[in-house]
This record gives sequence, structure tokens and C-alpha cells, in this order.
Amino acid sequence: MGARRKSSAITSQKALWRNRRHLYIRYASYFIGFLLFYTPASIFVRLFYGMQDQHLTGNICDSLNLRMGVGALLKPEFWERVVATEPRSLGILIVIAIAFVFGPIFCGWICAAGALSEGLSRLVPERFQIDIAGVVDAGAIRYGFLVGFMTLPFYGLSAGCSYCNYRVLDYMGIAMTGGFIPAVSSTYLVVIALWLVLGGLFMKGGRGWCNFLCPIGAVQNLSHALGSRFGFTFKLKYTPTSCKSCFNCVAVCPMRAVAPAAEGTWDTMGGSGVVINHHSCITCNQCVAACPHNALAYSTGKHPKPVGGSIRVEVEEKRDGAY
Amino acid sequence: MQASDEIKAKPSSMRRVYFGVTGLWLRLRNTITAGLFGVSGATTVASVQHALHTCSAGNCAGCGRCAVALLAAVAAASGGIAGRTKGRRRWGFIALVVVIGLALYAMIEAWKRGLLS
Repeated sequence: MGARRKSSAITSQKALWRNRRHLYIRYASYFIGFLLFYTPASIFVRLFYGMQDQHLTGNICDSLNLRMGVGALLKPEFWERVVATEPRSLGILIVIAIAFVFGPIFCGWICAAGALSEGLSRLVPERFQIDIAGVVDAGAIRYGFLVGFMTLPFYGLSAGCSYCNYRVLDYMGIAMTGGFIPAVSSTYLVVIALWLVLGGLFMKGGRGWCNFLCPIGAVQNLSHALGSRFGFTFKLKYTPTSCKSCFNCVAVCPMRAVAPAAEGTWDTMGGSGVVINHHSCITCNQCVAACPHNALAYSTGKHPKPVGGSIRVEVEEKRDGAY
Repeated sequence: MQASDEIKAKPSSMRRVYFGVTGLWLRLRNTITAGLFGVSGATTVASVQHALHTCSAGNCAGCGRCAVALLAAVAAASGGIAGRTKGRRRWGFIALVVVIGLALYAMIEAWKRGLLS
């Protein structure tokens, strides 16, 4: 018989303070990310490409070309551009390589689009929000989206620019500074509804778009999940013997990548402990800041193995035998 | 905010833990079936994007890609449902997905004919 503990707040005052301080540092980092990659500042684009005079939407597409880069990863033309060291094509490969060693720090520290929806989620009381922690395998759904995203171009279809929250955020920046928006389509309204309303305001953590629909996050998390199997890479490491199952980490994780474990999974100091899903973790380290017992750390080294072996699957079954 | 410490277990369900080959198989099955929902989402988005940007208000070339993509989306979602449910629930959810797919296709057709523009 399993049990789930619902945790919605940090219980230790010191951990609460550390958590807030970490949150402010993260948001400062996201703001720098916004200034680097989005209109009106677009510092990275201006410095890197010297586009001072021409009209500049200035979003990530103009500098790192991440989303289109992911969509083109299976195409030979993309690799021809990589061989020719075309900077925009190299951008996505650099981000993937960084994710392999250090985790998806682009998502956890730079992506202003994810930060905006995460920030908005704090405006709505938790009782009105959907919590997917330990309930939905968001990582697998996102990988499925990634597979579709990368294979559709071969059939003359695309799930690209019109459904890009980067572009919509950039247009917001242009609109706020009184600039001209090249095109607004109804698909942007769909993006706003999914990204900021359903995935932001009404999802705990505010990372619904990142969890299910972001191909850039998916490809980084795939790289991170592979990299986290090696000892030399940085990842979120859990020390069950220090854990008292206060579940502060579960409460603060914006990606809902930390969930309460089933009883007997770990030998903890009390309670069931937690499980970390490296296919969703963005190494924002919010859980590390919120842990009062130092059971979580962002460091190198191997993962601890759960009791009974590393292949351990929990399945919630109906009493009548149905899933 | 206040911490809530209650332990909740759904009365209608129970959690079982599997190891070894059974665990591996269940993990694989769960991952693939969840992934099928993601594939379904991507193909739905692609279908709508194709219709909105290529075939708006009478410009449809009749390539049929929107229909094929929607069909793939419904098939993928149905596959995901089939892998995760049993009995009546399975067929009920599949029927729901088919109805949603047909409704979406009707909207795309209306858009292509200029009825929604």
C-alpha cells in the first residue's frame, strides 16, 4: 500500500529564507537572460552579430536558433551548417553539450520564457492548480513531442515557429517598447493559453509548457539524463541517509521533477524519501536551497541505488485490476 | 501558507512496486505509451499549423496533409490510451479521442473554406 503526502509549504524558517534568496538570484539570472536574448535589449544578438541598424526581433532564433535547431537535428543540411561552423546552428549543440555535463542550466537559469510562466503561477492559490508531481510522466510525453517535432519536417509539416513561446515573448517585448510587431496570428493566442494560462497560472510550479511542449528542454533533458549516469557530470544528487522526508523539495520544485517515493524505496532517517526525475530536472537547485537537512546537492558522483535495485517501477492500479 | 501533513491514499487504487524484468517491461511500456501522447500533441499542432498557414480561406491545395496528421494524432493518442487502460475505460477514451479529432478536422475544414476567418 503506498501513500502520498501532500506538501505545499516549507516547514523550516531557515530553509524558507534560503529558498527565497535562491529564488531571487534565479529571477535575476532570468532577467539577464531576457536582456541578452529578447527585445528590446537583445545584447547577445547585437554583440554577436553586430545588428545595430537593421530591424531586429532579437529573440533566440536570431542568435542561437534553438527551436529550429532541434527541429533540424535529423536533417543533413543542419550538419552541413555545423561543419561550416555557422554560429546559429552550433548554438543548439553547445546547449546540449552543456546540459550533458552541467544539466539543463539554460532552462534553469537563462530561459526567460519559462521564468515568466513560473512567476505567474505564484499569483494563483495552489488549490486551484494542477499538480503533476509523481502523477504524470511528463518527461516521456515531452520526448514523444520531441520525436514528432523532429520527424514531422520530413513529411512537409512543422510544429515550429507559430507555436513558439520564445517568439511570443519577443513580440511582448516589442509591444511593450512601442515597436512594430511583424505578425500576430491566432496561433499565438493558443500559445499564450497553453504557456501562460494553463501551463503557468493553473499548473503548480508554472512550468506546464516546459514540462510537456518544449522540444529544447526535451533535448537538453535527454542529454542530462544520459550524462547523469556518469560520475564526472554535475547533477542533482540525493543522499537518502540524510533525508527526513519533510518534502520541502517536492513543494518548491517548479518542474515537479521531485516526488515522494513509495514506502521502502530508500533507507532514510524517516519517511519514504523522494525520487528525482532527471528527465524533467532543470538543475535550478531550488530544492537544494529548500532542503534543511542537506540531503540534496548539485554535485558530481554516482546516484545512490534504491532498495532492491535500480529498476524499480511503481504502478498505481485500480482495485478491480485496471490501470 | 501552512504545511499539510496528511497522508492520502486513494481508496479505489493501490500502488504496486515491480522489480527486474517485469519492472523494466513496465517502465518501457509506460514510457512508450506516455510518449505516444506527446507524438499526438506534435502532430495535432503540425496539422493545425499547416492548415492555418498554408490553406487559409480558400487556398487549400488539397494535399491532405492536415487530415493525415490528424489521423496520426488520433492513432497515437489511441495507442497511448490502449497501453494504459483496460476494458470499458479504454474504448470510452478512444471514442472520446476520435470525437475530438473529428471536431478538430471539422474546424480545419471550416477554416479552409473561409467560414471561420
